[in-house]
Parts: sequence; structure tokens; C-alpha cells
Amino acid sequence: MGLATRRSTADGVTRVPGTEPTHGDWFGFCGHYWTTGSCRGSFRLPRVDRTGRPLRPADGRPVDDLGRLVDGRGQPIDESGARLLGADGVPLPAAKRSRLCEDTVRRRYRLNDAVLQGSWYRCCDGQIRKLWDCCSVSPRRINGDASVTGYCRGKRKVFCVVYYDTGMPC
Amino acid sequence: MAESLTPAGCGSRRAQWVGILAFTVAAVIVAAAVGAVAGAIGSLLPSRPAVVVGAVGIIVVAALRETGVLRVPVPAIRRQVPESWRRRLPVPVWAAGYGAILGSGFGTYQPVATYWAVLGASVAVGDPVTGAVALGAFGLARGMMAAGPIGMFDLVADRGRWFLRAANAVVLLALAAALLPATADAQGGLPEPSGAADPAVSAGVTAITRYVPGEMPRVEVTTGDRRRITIPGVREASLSGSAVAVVTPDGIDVRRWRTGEVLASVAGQLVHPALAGRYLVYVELLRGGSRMVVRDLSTGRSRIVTRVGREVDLGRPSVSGLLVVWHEASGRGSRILTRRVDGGPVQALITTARRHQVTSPSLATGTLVWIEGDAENFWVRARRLSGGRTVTVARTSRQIAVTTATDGRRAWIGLWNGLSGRGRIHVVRLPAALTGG
Repeated sequence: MGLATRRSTADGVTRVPGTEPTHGDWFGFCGHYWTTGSCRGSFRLPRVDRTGRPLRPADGRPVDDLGRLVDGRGQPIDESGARLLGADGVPLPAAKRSRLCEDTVRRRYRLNDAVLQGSWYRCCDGQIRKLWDCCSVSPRRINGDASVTGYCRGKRKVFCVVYYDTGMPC
Repeated sequence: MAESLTPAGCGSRRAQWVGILAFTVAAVIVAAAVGAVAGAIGSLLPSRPAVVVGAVGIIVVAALRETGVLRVPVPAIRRQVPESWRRRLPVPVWAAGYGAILGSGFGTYQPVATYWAVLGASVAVGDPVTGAVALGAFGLARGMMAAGPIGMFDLVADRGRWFLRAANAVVLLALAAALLPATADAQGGLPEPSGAADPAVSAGVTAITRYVPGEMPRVEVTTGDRRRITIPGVREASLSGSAVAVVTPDGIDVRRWRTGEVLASVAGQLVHPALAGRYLVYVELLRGGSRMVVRDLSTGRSRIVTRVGREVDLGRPSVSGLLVVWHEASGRGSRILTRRVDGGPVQALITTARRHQVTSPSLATGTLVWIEGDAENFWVRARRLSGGRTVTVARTSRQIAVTTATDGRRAWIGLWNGLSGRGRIHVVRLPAALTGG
């Protein structure tokens, strides 16, 4: 399955991002109360937009698969919104902006049935956070151990998780 | 033009193929250049969803024109290619010239608007290479038509062929659909809330927070005689008689809702006000967490009700008499708690673990209303504060229940639709067993 997602920590323990205990007794990030790891992207936190595509966790700006900020057409931009230029002054080409579950998980782990299904909601940073299960029939989750049903439907179980900050105050 | 690239028009069959080759190469080069320029222009435009939306609009109009629903002219120089070139210039030169004119897309008559739809899409995509490939295909198709039988020109020119037009419309709509995800991408990021949220009630007067995208939120107070008073630039109202507590950019104000007169102000990063008589309860956001504070407005003295660490949700409190109720939610579970505003121990009224979450309690005349959530299901429960049977007064699975308010007889529930991003208030009557009625 290519589960090379574990990262070393200072105490020598290797943990999949999203499984480490955090403030408020969550796992990985606010609102996540179970030990399933985060779907892998360019950042440690699996923040996505409403279509499941990656966002920069700090400010919710869209990023491509390389972790670069992008504009509405997917072109890489800098912090001020100007097009990123290469060394020759030519604008850098756009990269893919894959959905963390339906595209990246399917491609990286060869789980062709991976899909965002069940969700739950928690109040985080003053707004409602939608926590989303990336579900598959895989018997193992991204952590490498046995998968759990979570909020998935049918025969699917939770493979990894992402979250979507809704903007709705709570 | 159609007759030009024939053995008769070129002088021999070999010259015909030389002419077709020159025509096709020129058409592809010029069309690709136009596409590259369109993509380059698009890449220089500021990042605006309007560019994508505009392109989709052009494509849809083109598709409707093909179906005959709309009658709009196609921009073009409605002239034939210069016929004199054939007499004065060698075959490769005039054929290349014709290819350049037709490959440009707007140098001669066009029976369909597909070219402009693809050109608009090239601008929207904003990539010169993609634009060159897309429009280059147009030039190649021109060359293929020149190489094909003359009847192909007749087929395209005859716009009465319904199947050709219908097929073109379908392809155009598919192109518009392909661009739509780009529109959705352009809207990525933090959405803005809209609609009504955060209900409050006191003595027949109700208040809500109205969110309008692009505008500051406002509080709308509705009096008993259904008169509406708007307080702009504030949110999260809590009513107590003639006063309302609201969150402002600087902290919390207590105002007379009828006149706007400010009765008290507390500065800081403050949210979730609850007002009852002279007591104002609120949540103060701190660097390492948050704390709930009760302030006696008559003396100005404050007392800490509770304090929580980072990423523990300290919910909106509700005050009735001398009792304050609120929720705390963390990864271990959630609790609805109560404490007297003048001190005393914190008592847990309801406790749940992980999956189920109890939030947003409101209290009035001894009746407690709260929300219980389990993934996509939300139940609004009620019971007497002193204990007794818990009653489910509302249930929703399609919307998220966020906050509650009660006057002891009815419950106001702030609902939020996750798909539309819109909030609304739902009012339910509490069972007589709870109200004593």
C-alpha cells in the first residue's frame, strides 16, 4: 500500500500526521477525536475546500499539488497574488490541484474507490468545522492498522480524514 | 475558396497538394498563434472568477445560437479571400495566404460561433500553450476541409443541417461544463456566511444576526408588534428587557435596542455575550485558550466563571436569574455545565463522550434547551433544569443546528445549511409538560 507516511518526532516515536495528541484532547487538529491519520497533501494539516481540494491551513488560500498558492485558474502566485516567475522571467506553469481523497489517495494508495463520505461538525477557531472521512473498502487505514467504520457508508471504512472550515460562526 | 484548392484551381493535382499543404501549415500556425496570444492575455488578467464565468457565458450563448434559441451575429469580416492572389502569386504563396486568413478565425465569413467559444475558453484557461493547441486544432480542421471533398464546405456552410448544429451545441455545452470546475476553484477558500443566525429572545422581543456576503453582519431586533430595528456592524445579540448585548469590532456593547444608547462597553477579544438584568456573561479569547467572565454592570466588578485551554470549545452561555449554563467540548467529549453568577461550584448537567456532542444550551423559567449532535444528525432536546424526562423537540439531518434560545415556552434554533452556506431560524413550541401549561 506504500504507507510511507510516518514521520519521526523528537521523542523517537514515528506518527502519521493527524494521529498525534494535540491541545483539547483532539488528534492531529481541532475537532478530530479519533486516531485515523490525515490524508496526505503538501501540508501537515489536511485542510480542503468544499470540493475536497487542498487549501493552505493557515489562511485557507488554495494551493496546488506542489503546495504553491494558486489563483482562480490554478496558476501559481506569490503572497501578493502576482504570478510566480521562473529564473528566465517566464511565468511558471500550473500544476495539478488534486482532490486529497478522490484523486491523491486513489493515485498514491491505489484505492480506486476512495471517496469523501461521512462527516461530522465541531466548533473550532470560532467557526463550524466540517470533518470529513475519506472512505474506502480497504481493510487498512492510512496509519497501517485495521480500518474503522467511522461515518462511512456501505462497505467502506475510514482510510484518512480531511477538514473543511465553513466560515459559519459558532 | 472551396474551388481554389482543386486541380483546376491550382493547375495540376501535384500543385493542388502543394497548395493544400501550404494552406494547412499557414492555417495551423496562425490559429495557434492567435490561441497563444489569447492564453497569454488571459494569464495577464488579474485573478478573477469573472473571466471564467464570462467564458462560460460566451460558450452557452454560442450553444443556444446553434440550437436556434438565440439569434446573435458572429463577429467576422464578412468577405471572401482575395481572389486576385490566385492570378498574381505562386500556388504555395496564395494558398498560405488563404490559410493565414482563414486560420485567424475572423478574416472571413463563419457560419458558427464555435471559434469564439474556444477563443473565450483559451482566455479563461490563461495558458498560452493550451490556447495554441486548442486554436491550432481549429487551423488543422480548416486544412482538413481544404483537403476533403468540396461537399464538406457545403455541409458546414449549410446551417440548416440540424444534426450538425445539435452536435455542435452538445460539444459547446460540454466545453462550458469542463470550465465550471475552474469557476468552483476560483471560489475556493473561506466562504462567507449568509442568512440568519444566533437567535435571542426576551419578553416577546427577538433578535437574530443577519449575515450578507460582502457586508458587515448586523443584528435585527423584532419587537412584539413586529417592528424591526437594525443595529449595523454588530453580531451575536443577547436580549434582556430593553437592553441588548452585542459583539462589536472592539468588544461587547450593552445598548438600548430601541434608541441605540450605549449603556456599557467592555473592550477586548470578546464573544458570546449573555445578558440578564445587571449581569453580563461573555467569553474572552486568550492566547492560550479562553475564559468565561461574568460582569456586574452595576458595580463594574468581574468574576471568572470558567477557564479552558486551547482548542476546547467554550460555547455561548445563557443566563436566567442567577444561573449561567454553557457547554464545553473537547476531544474527550462534551458537557453542559452550570454555575451561579455570584460563585459556587460548577455542576455538570449533561455529559457525553466523543461521538455525541451536546452544545448550545439556553435556559429560561427553569427549562433547559440544548443541541445534541451525532455526525449528520442533530436533535434539539429540552427538559426541566431540576431534572425529569428529556424531550426531543426537533430533529434535523440535512442542516446543522448551531445555537438555541428559549423563553420557556418556545425554542428558537439557529440552523445552517452546509450545501448552500445559508443560515435560518426555526421556531418550535415546547411541550406543555415542560412549560407547565
